Amino acid sequence: MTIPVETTNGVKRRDFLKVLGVTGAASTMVGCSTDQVEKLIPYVTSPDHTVPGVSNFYASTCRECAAGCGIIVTTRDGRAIKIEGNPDHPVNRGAVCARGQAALQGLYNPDRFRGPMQRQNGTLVPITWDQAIDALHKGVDTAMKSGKAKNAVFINQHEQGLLHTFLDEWLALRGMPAHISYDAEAPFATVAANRAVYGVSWPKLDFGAAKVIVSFAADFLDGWGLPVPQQLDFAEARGRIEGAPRLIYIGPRRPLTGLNADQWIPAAPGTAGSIAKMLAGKMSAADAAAATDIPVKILEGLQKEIASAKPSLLVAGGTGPRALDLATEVNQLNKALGNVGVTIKPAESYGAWEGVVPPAVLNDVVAAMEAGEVPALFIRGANPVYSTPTGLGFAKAAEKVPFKVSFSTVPDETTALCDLILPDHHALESWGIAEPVQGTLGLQQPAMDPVFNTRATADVLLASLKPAPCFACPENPAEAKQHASDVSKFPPDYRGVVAKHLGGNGNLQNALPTGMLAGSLPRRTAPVAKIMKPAIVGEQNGDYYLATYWNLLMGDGRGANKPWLQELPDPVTKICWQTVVEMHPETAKKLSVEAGDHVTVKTVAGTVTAPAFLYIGVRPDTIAVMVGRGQTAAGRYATGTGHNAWSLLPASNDQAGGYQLVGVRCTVAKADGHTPIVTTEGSGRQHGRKIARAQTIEQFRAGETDHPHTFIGQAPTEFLPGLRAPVANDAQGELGDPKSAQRGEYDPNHPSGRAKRRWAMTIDLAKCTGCSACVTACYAENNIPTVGAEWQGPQLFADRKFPGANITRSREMAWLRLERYYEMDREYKDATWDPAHHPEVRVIPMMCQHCGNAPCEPVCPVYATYHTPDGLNVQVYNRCVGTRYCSNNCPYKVRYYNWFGYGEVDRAQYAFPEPLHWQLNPDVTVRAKGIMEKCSFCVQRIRDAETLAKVQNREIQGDEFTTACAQACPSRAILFGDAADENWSVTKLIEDRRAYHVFEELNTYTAVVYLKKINHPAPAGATA
Amino acid sequence: MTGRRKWLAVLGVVAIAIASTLMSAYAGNYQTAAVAAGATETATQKANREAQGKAKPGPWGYSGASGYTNYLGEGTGRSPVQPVVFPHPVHVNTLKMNCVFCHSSAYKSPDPGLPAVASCMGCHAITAIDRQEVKKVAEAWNKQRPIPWVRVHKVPEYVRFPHSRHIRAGVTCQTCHGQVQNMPQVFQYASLNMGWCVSCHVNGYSRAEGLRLAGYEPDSAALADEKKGVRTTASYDCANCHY
Amino acid sequence: MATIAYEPRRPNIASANVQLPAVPDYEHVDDAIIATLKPTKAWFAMLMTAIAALGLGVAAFLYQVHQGLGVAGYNPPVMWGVYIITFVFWVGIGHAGTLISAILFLFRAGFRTTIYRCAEAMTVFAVMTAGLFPIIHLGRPWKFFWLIPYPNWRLLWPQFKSPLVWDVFAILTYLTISSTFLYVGLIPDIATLRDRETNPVRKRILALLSFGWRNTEREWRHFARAYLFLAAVSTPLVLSVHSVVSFDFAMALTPGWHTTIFPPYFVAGAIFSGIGMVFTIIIPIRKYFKLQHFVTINHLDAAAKLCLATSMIVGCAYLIEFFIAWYGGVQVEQDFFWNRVFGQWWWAAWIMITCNMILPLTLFSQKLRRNPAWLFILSIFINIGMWFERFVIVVPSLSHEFEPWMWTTYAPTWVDYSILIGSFGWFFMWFLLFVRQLPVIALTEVKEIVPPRLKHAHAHTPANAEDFEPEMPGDR
Repeated sequence: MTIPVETTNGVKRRDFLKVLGVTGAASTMVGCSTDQVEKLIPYVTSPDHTVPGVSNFYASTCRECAAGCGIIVTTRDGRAIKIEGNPDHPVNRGAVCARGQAALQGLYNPDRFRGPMQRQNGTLVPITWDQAIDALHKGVDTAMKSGKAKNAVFINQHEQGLLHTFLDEWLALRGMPAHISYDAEAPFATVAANRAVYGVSWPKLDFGAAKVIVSFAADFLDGWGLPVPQQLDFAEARGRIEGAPRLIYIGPRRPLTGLNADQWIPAAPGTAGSIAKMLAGKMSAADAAAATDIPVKILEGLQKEIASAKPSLLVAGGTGPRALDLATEVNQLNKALGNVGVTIKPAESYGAWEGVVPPAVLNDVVAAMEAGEVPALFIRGANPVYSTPTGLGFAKAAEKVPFKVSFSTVPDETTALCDLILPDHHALESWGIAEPVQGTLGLQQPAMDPVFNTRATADVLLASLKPAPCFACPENPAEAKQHASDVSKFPPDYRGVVAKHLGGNGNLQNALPTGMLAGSLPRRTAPVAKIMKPAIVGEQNGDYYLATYWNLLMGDGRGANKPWLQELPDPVTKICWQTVVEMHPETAKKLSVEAGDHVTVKTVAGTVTAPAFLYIGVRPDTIAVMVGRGQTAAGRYATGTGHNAWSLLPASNDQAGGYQLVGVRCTVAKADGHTPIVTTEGSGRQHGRKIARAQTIEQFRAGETDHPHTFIGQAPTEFLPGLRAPVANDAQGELGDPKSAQRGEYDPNHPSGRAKRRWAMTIDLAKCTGCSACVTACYAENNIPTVGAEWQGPQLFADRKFPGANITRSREMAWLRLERYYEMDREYKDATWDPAHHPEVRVIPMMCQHCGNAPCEPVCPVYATYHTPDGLNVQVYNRCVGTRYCSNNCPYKVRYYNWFGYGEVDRAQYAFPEPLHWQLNPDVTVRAKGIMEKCSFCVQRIRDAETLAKVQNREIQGDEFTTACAQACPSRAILFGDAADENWSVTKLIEDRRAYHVFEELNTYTAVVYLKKINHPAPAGATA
Repeated sequence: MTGRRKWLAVLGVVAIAIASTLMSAYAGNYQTAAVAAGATETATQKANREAQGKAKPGPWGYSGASGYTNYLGEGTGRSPVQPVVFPHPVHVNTLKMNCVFCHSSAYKSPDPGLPAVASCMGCHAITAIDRQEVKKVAEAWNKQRPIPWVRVHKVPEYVRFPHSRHIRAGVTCQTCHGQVQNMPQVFQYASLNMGWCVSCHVNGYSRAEGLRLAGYEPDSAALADEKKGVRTTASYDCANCHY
Repeated sequence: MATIAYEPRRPNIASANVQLPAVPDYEHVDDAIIATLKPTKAWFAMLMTAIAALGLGVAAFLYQVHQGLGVAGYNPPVMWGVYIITFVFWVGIGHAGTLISAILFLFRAGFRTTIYRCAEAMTVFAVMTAGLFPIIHLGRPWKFFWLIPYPNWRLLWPQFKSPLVWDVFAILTYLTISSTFLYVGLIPDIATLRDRETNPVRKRILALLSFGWRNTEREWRHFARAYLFLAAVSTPLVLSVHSVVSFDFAMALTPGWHTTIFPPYFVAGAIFSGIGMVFTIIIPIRKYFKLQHFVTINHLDAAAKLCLATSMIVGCAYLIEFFIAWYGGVQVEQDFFWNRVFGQWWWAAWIMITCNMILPLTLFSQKLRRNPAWLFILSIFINIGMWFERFVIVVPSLSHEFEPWMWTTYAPTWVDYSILIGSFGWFFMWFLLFVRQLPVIALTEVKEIVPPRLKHAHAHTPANAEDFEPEMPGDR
């Protein structure tokens, strides 16, 4: 689309973008007249297939992690506003994780580089692209002239695809070695073992086919491997109650996978291998028990179970010093058990980790840089200065490199070192190809015009190939000719490169609608890393093991500058905007530490002082800290938020060359100071309230059920949510009125039939893993402000000057929250350690239940909340005066209040600093201060569907649309629809035997129906 | 206190009550455009006044916040000067162009759409190129810059007004936007405040009236409905427009 | 044969000795009471303090309006806090006045005579204060009028099912009636002031305010009737208003709110707190203006008994709440009440119980009952206790509801406190101005219980004045 740049009459680019916005994109709903003159900016030439005010959809590939899921980007009037999964894509089948959703906040990140910059006497100053490219090839020129070109280093954030080949070709042309495809998150041990045993880097793991799943420290639900497809399979398997696999998790800390496991075997750090050996019969159960510090009965039980339950699926994802041994052992075990081809399918392998290079190579790189051998350092995307163990000393070494170029889109610790910044397009603005699944190419296309004055790195490199005068051109004409022809091989821009690979522009154009086509990419033989011996430098003192880990949200730190991800509580600890030191309550007692007291963790590499957090899911001899926070120069949201756990890690690798995150020894000491834990958790126990219900598979088979549930003096509850709602509670109460026939649409027999609709939702707790992707989807769809940034905190409380201050006063705005309950009978601080028994964990998504008999409705003095005839409990923002009585009377506590002007541009608490507000959904009002808001069942989607149906003269079809949370859910646990219309699949599940309403006894007749979780206890013989 | 005094007081109170009622009732139709013009009235503004005189303003009334209509009801009749003086009368009355020829997405999108500069150039590359205003358009086209029109009709940010649904329901443009075809310079015709919306949703819309406003002869069905006094009502549920 | 042995009767509410033997004659009444109208340094000092406090409150409120309610200490789901607590507190204070002046008037309880004027004024000002808080606590205070039903052609009305709308009506009604009642009672006194006034301007104003009262028998007859009727009208209000306020809580699902005992419990509590406030005000006044011979120990004693009675009703209500929680067998309810007294909020609950249940029991001792110093101290405790009663009702319930995941705590900020202080400033500002402008003790009614001169001349006046039983006012 044609979007001109700055014009003379002061109209900004973004005004051109917000063409004819009749919608509340960047403005609030404060109830007063808008006197300022507003301009309506039409297109100069209207692009094809674009109707103002109607969304366009672009199929592309997600680049937030290596998996390469297919995404569909919704754009409105030239702005990308939402990311959803591509239903036809083989990897993620329509689902998308929280990190994928948050790509938008990378695109609109307020800290992004506005254009190319150069460091002139210490400070970065903006330059033009011509100057930039000139500077680039001058730098390359000198590097080549220096004769050390073969030592130049190009570190690229691993993104599996065509770019690998392109970069290597370009570097070759400049006499430079192949680039390093760096990814701190890649499970190298597993990849190496897979290559060795299965012959592919990442086979398809079919969780559905297995009877029992044993995870050796592989957190496959929260970031390890390919999160979305793994979760899809796992949830689907658990969802079919009969023959669902039992999940056993082995590891020192209980991550999200551990919470979903039916059994947690807390083996001591780095000892999971001996359990594998035992299962392989290479070690006696007794020895294994001694090694792992686990009661022998449990291991014997495991032995029996694995022997009996076939097929099984064993996955290994250790990050300890002997991770490769473990992974290889486990893979061979799979082979021995005959799982290969049944639950593990090398035939359909994923391409995620093709061409990734183990970080151990950085050891050489650092050495070379120290020696001053490296003439030029190119970095794209990756942030090695931060996301490497501080023990490695990357930053210090990099200082010695004369020419450092960064192609990163956002400033970070690494760009802070670089001399030349040539900002790349964001992935949503660029072209590309990936091969996520063997034999299928995923296309990456720009969903919108560049937000800033950036350029695709490939284009920049290409531009620098054809300088005048030609530099580095060989003297003798033959070579010169050769060189010229090499150069001329390249198409003018990267789009051309992509098209060329696909065999012509035509194929590219045809592939655009689906974003997929058959084909394959040239395999890249990655340079093998020099493997260091799995020992840790420096003597090991300290009476605790350190278990660092990363979760899907922060990752190795790449998620830290996205407020959505900072604000989204960790699925396990429920902590946001903060780095905590996780220790078992017993450990805390020993150290006489309470939650929030500062403690200092010390290793050979460094120290971190952070608030202590009592976590019952970590061994008493282990201290867990999450990496990913505590950056120093990575944008306004990341900088100074939390603490940097990388600084605790010495430069040591496992045998496969991956970082050793687990097993470092550390000391822990109480420090002075106390910070409230920034958590959304009130009480982590249900206190017998039957909110998240579960039953064992036996109970289910026995047909145990809660209904028919009767209230005293009332008919048995039917599970038609709200259809039997006491109708006196709709807006004007007409349905309760016998003369309703004269009351227009509220008459049940009214042709519009709206009174007959009942929008409802079912949530299958057997599937839900608590990954929280739905929460971020909700933030993206409904313009929910994030409130955790330091400057948004209530500055007037002297004790609350830290990120997440608002959240310590539980003022988070998440319309949809994930509650995580431990089935235990005491508070955390009183919990005791027993390696054999661990509380069952239940997660339950809690949002507005859209009660048919809503307590919030009658108490609102101004009708700001009321019941629509189609069964929605709506909140009318502009009518709300803010008495907050509705929230007081809501048993589910799902109403959220705008304490500050989060949506008002001129406020300190403004949640959408430019250009973040470009992402705002134009169909949803941005709320002002002083009003209540809550889950609306995505009413804007309902109304759009109705309008569309009306415009097309038809009725709404069954399952025609769904809510944002249901769309994103990688467990497919959420289902939305019209409970009154048989064509919607939600009506089937409502009748399910496991169905129940939360707080049924309150007669609220909720529209959200939960299906009980099903637990799979250890079979007879195996003790759990 | 004598009897007469007492009655005086009573009358006073009544008078105040009436005055306030009238003020609030007529606020909705409070005109600003002509007033703002000051002493010297341009031909355009004169024409506007006449157009307004001809146009029967929508139901008067006072309601809360609304696009350009503030608590005093100011906003109805506001008529900003546009960067390019676009004569609707010439295009619609003389050249008989349909509204959706330029506002092309009105029937398929919440958003009626403004013509791209290219659309203007479709004709004005050859016709009336010597006119002053057309030259401006041509200049914009040559510079590849859009024309920054000044917004006239606006509902508040917390209101969703899907044009498509109303057009599909047979509501003619003139019903809400007034006799645009007679406006040398477009002015805000209706108050666009909530009371004004609801009055139509509740009391219903008469196709015959709408067609007449648009300058068409009502078809027989419309006339029949009118005779029967049938008016199409619409839902006035809050969450139809507010979410 | 019987010898009549003289036994002095102990005073009690029904037949308290309300006579004022120390008051020689009617002139002294006027002189002594109108003397209170002279401005003094101390008075100015107090007024300035009150206005300063008010200023603080106003500043805090404006800051809050600009910044948003976030500056107050709310901690969701504790969505109501200090403002609602203080609202209920002041409405409660506003009850004793009408009770004393109306109900006790109908019951012919003579001891009311000397204290009812203060109590009434207090009522009006307390309700004026309370009325501010529902607006202060709104998220968008400038939209408060949406709670009032007014015709608009957007077809929008308030939700008449909402207790908050009932509040609007209850408070406004109560304010109207009680201020009318106060004013009507004042008319003859204003006339007296007018007659003694020398400054022509003030004289004119007072003449207007007294509706040209000429002290004729006809006027007196109308006055007495009007007063009686108003008393009759306002009596049910005493019960209704606080019942309606209690519905704010009783109508909700929230554990600790959802209970039928609230209306009587709130009314009793209100009267209790009101009498507390009466003591807090009247005891310093009688001391400062040397009116001990008007507001006698007997009167305080009788009021103290009323205080004791209401205290015991309130205490009973507390206990019944716990009983019902246990007896009802709703686990959520039981958890909550346990948490209220032994959990998170034990300190607030125990402050409440100590101040409102335990300390007032001292009033069983006549010595303490007749000891103004103790009554004053006790009244302070009662005020604190009653504020905390509302705290215990509002905060713990919200912080410990059905959903354990959303259990939180609550801590007010300086904004809350400033506005709380401001409300006291506002209240006392009005009261001090009142004290300065109008008689704090009803001149006319006091004269009714002053022994007429001629009775002094009688030979057989009993030695001890205690046996003297005058007719009640209005009977004459």
